Amino acid sequence: MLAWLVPGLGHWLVGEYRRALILGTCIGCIWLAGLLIGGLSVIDRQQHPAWFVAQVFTAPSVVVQYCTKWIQNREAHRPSFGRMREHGILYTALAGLLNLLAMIDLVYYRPPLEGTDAVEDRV
Amino acid sequence: MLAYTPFLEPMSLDDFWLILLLPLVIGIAVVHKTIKMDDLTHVTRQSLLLAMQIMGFMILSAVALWVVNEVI
Repeated sequence: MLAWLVPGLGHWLVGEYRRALILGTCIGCIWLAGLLIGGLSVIDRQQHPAWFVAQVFTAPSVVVQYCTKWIQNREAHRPSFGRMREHGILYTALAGLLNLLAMIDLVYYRPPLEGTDAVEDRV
Repeated sequence: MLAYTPFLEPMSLDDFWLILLLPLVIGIAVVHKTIKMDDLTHVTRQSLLLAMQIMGFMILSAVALWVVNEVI
């Protein structure tokens, strides 16, 4: 659940600090890049529900979806279309799917055995 | 570019859209290797290697599809 809320947080809580930092940074940057490329309108449940299923695996996408009406009423808002919209949707959807991968990794996580050197992954 | 408002409007990169695939491939490679590897010492090198493999395969696929399109 916490890994869904903040990418990498689940790994941080089980002690995989370095892994958590890399995952959180990468997934977060991909998600942010998608929003910067296509604008906030790339996360839209009504227009493309299939892509939204992938986007929803990062919790901030749900927040953006609920803010859609407020965003569309802003004067500066310009909806995206064409390749930039496609790339924005692709980036945010892939960020969600990569976060899903990280969450699945946590489900099958096995802590290192006692007596083994497990500090190489800790910050 | 100066008139661009982040998040409220899209970027004007229509002419350079292919370049946008590169950071995506690198991100996917890094996340995949981070999850798969037990020891993260060589994650940078392995990620770059995987990213190059993915890009190479994409280029090969593009060339193959172009050849098919031209021939058939």
